[in-house]
Amino acid sequence: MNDYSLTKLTLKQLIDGLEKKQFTISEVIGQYFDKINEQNKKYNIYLTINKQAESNALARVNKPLKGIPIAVKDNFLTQGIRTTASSKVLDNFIPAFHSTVTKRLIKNGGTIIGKTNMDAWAHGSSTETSDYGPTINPLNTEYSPGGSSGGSAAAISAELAPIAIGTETAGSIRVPASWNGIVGFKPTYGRVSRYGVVAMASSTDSPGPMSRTVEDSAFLLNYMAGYDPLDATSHPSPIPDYTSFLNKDIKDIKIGILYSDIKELKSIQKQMQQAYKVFERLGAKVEETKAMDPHIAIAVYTAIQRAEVSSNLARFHGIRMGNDRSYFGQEAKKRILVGIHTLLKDSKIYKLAQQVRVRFIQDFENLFEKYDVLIAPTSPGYALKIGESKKNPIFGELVDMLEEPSAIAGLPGISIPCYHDKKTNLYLGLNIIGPKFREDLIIQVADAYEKATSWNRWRK
Amino acid sequence: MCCMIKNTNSDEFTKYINKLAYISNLKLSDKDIGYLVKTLENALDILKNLEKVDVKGIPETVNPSSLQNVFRQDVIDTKNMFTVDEALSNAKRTYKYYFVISSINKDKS
Repeated sequence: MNDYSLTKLTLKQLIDGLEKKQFTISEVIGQYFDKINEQNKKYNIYLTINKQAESNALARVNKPLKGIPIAVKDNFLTQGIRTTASSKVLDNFIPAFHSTVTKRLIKNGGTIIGKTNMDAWAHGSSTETSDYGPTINPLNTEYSPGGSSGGSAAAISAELAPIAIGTETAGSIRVPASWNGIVGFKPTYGRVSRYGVVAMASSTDSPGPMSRTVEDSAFLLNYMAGYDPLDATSHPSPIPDYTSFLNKDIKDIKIGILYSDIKELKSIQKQMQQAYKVFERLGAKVEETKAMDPHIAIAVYTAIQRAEVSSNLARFHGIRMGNDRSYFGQEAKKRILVGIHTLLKDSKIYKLAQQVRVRFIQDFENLFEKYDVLIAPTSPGYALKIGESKKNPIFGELVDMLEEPSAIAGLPGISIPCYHDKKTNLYLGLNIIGPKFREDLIIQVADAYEKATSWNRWRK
Repeated sequence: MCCMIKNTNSDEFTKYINKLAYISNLKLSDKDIGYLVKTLENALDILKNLEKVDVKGIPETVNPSSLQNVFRQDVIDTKNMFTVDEALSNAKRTYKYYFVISSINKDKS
């Protein structure tokens, strides 16, 4: 029987153990490879494995990340490693350069262990639009892992990676994190470079860490975030050491609870109210508040995201890379057509959507004059069963409806586990939203909650 | 107002979908069209919600970043250049230093 003891450790525990020479990076990578060989077929998490991972890691042991393996969503360009965005259009695409994020992680000692499954082009919230088949939720194999970063979330949940990276336009990091009982951190738009990420919706795409603990996300964000001259929307402000905001109290922090009156959340209200009470126990000032209706945000997101998709996917025609446009799946075709519709000269949809988007931005600005952070459920419920997404043409929009308002406003947010259903073995996620560039505050609040509760299975 | 299509259950709507596909350089099968008629109808319904919001006097934005007019120096960045081989490495058809594309101008002679 294989020894998988090292795959149980958090990123921080791995780094500490490597520093103290309790084990070697070869042993870490070896255990992960054995486990991936044994379990990847069952869950369909990795589309490509980096066979050079061990030699890559050995050359990086003296750097801050010590060669630790990182699961990378398959829409980050990785030099010399196949990158498909889970679409057969890019079936054989081997990028000639790295995304800024993967370049920074490698420079600081990270090792790409493999590329993870996702919804094709990140279009979806279940990984079921992947041209390589859906990923299965390791917590309960009848259920979807969520998406679009479902492979990265499942990699952590199944302990086939200690940490992962994903991308989010509206919910694609946080919802799969919630459905897999892990931590998913979507930074402010512009905080982490989009350069070299297969673009979905350019005005909201945000890469971020997915991890076992808040501490691990804070640690990895230190090596992902910061100004990048290759991304014109990258913000030039300096970044702090995000780990310095761990282990702080949240006494007197003002917290607003959002969306308690939304009918779709009725079935999880009891569990969420319990979660909210924890903040009161920790000394925060917590109260219900009102925000603009997330159903309207679905319309804004539908218009803007489709418009940007139709523009971004115009560059895939099989000339410079990949296969021709006949390889697009139905979901991509649908989004392209809706996008073209919203952009037609005589259609006023795009302009109107951008005005309503400003209303959402203003609404959050007003809320943050009164509150330090806002909290809400991450998803309207637990993970849904595989196959559910095909029953509803706007499945993704409904699943992601609680992220869409803050995502179109470019705000940062984290999802952390806040309830476990013993019957199904599934989790609920708590979404903590902060003002622009206040990742520090989100880490402080999320870390305090995580340490005051027992929902995080790696802290037990 | 904003969604233009009056009757989605019509030949006119199917024609409109084909027009959008032509603009997008996508070829649609009969199966695609059946699926798209159903799903586009749904998307158009959602978009109608935009009309519920009062946007009088509200400016539009293009992204939530507060950055404006981001420029760079107009100089060659030698650190971020491809060799010709790298640039052509994923192309299916190449000739010398070029990508090869299908002719888009039909010979009318």
